[in-house]
Amino acid sequence: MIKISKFTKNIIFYTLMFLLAFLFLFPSIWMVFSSFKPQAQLAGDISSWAALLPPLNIPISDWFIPYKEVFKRFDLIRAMGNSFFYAFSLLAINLFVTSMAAYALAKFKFPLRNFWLMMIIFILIIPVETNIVPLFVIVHRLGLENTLLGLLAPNIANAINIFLFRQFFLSIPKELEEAAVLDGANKLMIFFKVVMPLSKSIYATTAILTFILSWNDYIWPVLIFADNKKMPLQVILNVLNNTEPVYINQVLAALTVATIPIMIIYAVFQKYIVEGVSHTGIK
Amino acid sequence: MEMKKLFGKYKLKETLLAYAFLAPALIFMLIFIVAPIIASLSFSFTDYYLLKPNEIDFIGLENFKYILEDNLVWLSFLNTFKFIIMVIPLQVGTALGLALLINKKIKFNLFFKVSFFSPVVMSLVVMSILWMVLLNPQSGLINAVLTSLGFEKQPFLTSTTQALPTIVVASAWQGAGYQMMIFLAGLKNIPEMLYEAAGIDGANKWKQFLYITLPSLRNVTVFVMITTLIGAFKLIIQPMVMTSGGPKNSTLTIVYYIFQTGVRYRNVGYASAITLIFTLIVTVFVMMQRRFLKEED
Amino acid sequence: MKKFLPILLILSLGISMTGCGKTDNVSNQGGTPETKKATEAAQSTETGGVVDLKMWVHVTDETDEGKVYAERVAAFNEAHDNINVSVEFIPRAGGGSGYEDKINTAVTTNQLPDIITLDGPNAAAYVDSGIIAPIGDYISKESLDDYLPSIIEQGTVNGQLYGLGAMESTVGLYYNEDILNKYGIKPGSMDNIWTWDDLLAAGEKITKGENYPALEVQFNWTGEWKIYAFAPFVWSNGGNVISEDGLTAAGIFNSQENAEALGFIKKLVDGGIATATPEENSFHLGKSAFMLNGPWAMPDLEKNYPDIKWAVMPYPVSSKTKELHVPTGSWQFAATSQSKHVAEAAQVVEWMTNTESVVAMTNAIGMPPARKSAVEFLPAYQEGARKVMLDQLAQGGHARPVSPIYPVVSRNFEEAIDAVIYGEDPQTVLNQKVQVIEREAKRKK
Repeated sequence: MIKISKFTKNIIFYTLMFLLAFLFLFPSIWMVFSSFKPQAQLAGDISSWAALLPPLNIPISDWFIPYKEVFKRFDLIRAMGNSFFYAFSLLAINLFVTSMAAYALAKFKFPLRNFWLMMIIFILIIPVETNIVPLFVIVHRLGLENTLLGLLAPNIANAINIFLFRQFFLSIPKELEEAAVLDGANKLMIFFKVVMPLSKSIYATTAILTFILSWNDYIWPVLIFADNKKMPLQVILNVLNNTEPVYINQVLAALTVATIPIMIIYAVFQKYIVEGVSHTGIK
Repeated sequence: MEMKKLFGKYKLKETLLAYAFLAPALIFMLIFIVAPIIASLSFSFTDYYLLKPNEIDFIGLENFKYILEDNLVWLSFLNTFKFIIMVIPLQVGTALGLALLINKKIKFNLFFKVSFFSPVVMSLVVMSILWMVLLNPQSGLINAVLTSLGFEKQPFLTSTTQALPTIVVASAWQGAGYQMMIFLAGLKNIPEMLYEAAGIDGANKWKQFLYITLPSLRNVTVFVMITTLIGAFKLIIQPMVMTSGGPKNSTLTIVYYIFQTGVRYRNVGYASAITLIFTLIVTVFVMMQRRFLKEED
Repeated sequence: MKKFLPILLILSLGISMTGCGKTDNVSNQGGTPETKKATEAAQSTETGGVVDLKMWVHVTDETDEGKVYAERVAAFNEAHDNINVSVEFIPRAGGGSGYEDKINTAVTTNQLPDIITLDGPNAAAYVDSGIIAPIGDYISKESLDDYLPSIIEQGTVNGQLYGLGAMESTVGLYYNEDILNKYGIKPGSMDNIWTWDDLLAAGEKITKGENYPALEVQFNWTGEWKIYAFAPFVWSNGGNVISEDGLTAAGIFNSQENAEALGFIKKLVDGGIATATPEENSFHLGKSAFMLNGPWAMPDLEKNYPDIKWAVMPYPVSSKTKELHVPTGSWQFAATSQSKHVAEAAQVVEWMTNTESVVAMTNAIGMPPARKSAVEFLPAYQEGARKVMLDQLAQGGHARPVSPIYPVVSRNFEEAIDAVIYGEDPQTVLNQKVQVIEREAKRKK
């Protein structure tokens, strides 16, 4: 066997690593850079490496023309505002409701507990798409059409969050709670004063997942709202992608804009994702 | 009599408190999730046609007889299983591999982590559209790269044999980053001591991986595999956007077929019957994973 | 655990059945008190002698099409003191989802507006389900005669008129004049329409000479496109897709005429003249001599590819019959059966498709006008490629089949074409698919 020097080894290793990173990055690179290009250049570049370069031949001030155009055609700001509003409203209710339920399922002994657990796992696996008509009928019967509650209702007690919270709560040592009991705190106080502060990371994880769930939803808002002004960003993106003339550069500009909030959220909460996920996964 | 027995094991106060905690979630869940599921499953014994909600007739097992004759049901089940069998090893393997690479103390660690994670940020629809453009057999970037490297152009999504594997790769590519984070968390939890001890005993890196890393990651791996399995069962967006189930139904998945039957053909009754079968199969898998959910009291 | 299941079952059934178990209140205008409330909330109301009508359209008001709808409705309200129309713009994503989901759920909850828009082939299913009402009696014969025959055909079910559209669409054979000149090929025209054999001969020559597929045709587009664009081959050859009542396929869908028509597609692919995976815009880039495409391709060609010298000839016809049949179809307006003011709603439908509306629509989005009288206001449609499109529509426009099981027919037609493109034998494929359609039809009979 030939002895390879550590230096050469390193070079090979890092070259491979950068290649691998590139494999994961290049579609995003393509999306962003293409959104700066005029339609014809975008199409011309697609079959060459130029596809992964910014349009260096045109002044930077012109890079944002597709953005200007698409914002002129569609009220993306309003749609994005709606999306944020819906996502944060859902977060506020959902995290409270699901974590309370999960705590009961994790730490209390009571009749039917295993039944509810099985039900949650079961729900986790049934795709929502197959039940949308009866769901609409119910929402309509309850008079929740065109309301915020009607939009949020199906996602308020979502199974995946209850599941993740429960897995996390199971990993909190009993001793902590027992100590609080000795101090005279009741279960309710324990939940708010002891468990919640200990669980920041799982709240961050579920918050992110819920935010993305809400951010990406599009069939339900169309059904529940009649007013175009209430539509979230995903709906408008779909309209944009299906409204002739379809300009790919404008679509990509809109997609880039739509991806930025999620990117920022991941970047900010990166630390918590790993922490939160580690407990749920390992238990 | 039974009530007494039921409560015998439990404290009343704890039970009441538990249900107080559960109540908001249960109410929303029963009304907005469980009720629609059960309603739609009960439609499987009817001829419910979406546009005639006032003429629903009970037709017994007609729909199920029809399933037996419907090749597309079986084809779509088969495609779904093929997808599951391919995507689980690929995605979980990729995620584990990436986690192991990043877990070492290497330069540019953060850059690599962000790169591997970047596809997760995209929504499934965005990801699917992107890959569609990139994989265009004539004008796509991927084939341009292949030809410049001296390979032949590939049909990818337009070939009956390559379309499903292509969707597998695109899905794994998108999902691996998130699971890499989970593995990374798992790796961080393995005590350094174990490796040190193994090092003293003279175990090489490969043996350490085989006898320390892998067993320590067992629970994480099971968790990751189950979440992948659940996601894979529900596969619909990628084939819907990238291939519309084609070519020649080679990427028609079961949930996509249910969706087509219920929404495009408007045969809600029949779609519900397929859903019922699907649900039964899924339930079997749920039962299989019960062991994993049982917590040690 | 077992005890709880029945409770859940009853609970959920209770909720859902009160939702959709009402008896036949589509035809019964009174309905239960609850229905009435819902109907009043959603639909027309009369206040001080003014009839309020609600209309749903499938585009948002941000689009050019949506803007025309908004303008035309405003003009209608201006012109009619006794009727007031309000529009809701409902976003539509790919394949009609979104908007059509909304219609479907509105049917379930009795909340349809007075006027809706619908895609051409949906008419039969909507009539079959009692969703839309006949409007023929409310519109003058003179006005009806002004529409292209294909518009009337598309909106007519069981001999009654239900829907009218403002625009048409079709597919023509684009050709590159320079390439045809190079090979000394004389293009077809309305007086000398190319047959399949003409196209095959020219295609073969150019494919061999240029070493690329001579014909760009989107065999890779999915969904409605296949039956829309290629059913005319079948009709031109004397075949049909399904019976008059839309419920018999045996002997029709798998007729010899149809097999021959699909055989023509097979010849195109086998000869390398067209491919299953065409390169996007190869015609635009001068890398194919022909393209089968609709008028929507024209603005892009004119604006972005000025170097290409192109023109359009009519859709090719069967060498056997030489009969012209061309694709047609568009969204149309219809009055709903749930509306209490069908007469007024019909008035709105006519207004939205009158000459002025048609001209505005064509100017906004460039599709062929649905009325003959509109042409004099549209210079672009008086000559050249657009005139060819319009002429072939007037002479050979053939609407897609009217059938309550249309989606299944469309899917199986698409699957048959795909199978042939991928090398299977036309007759065998058609024989297989006919069984699937027959089985579906059996459930509707």
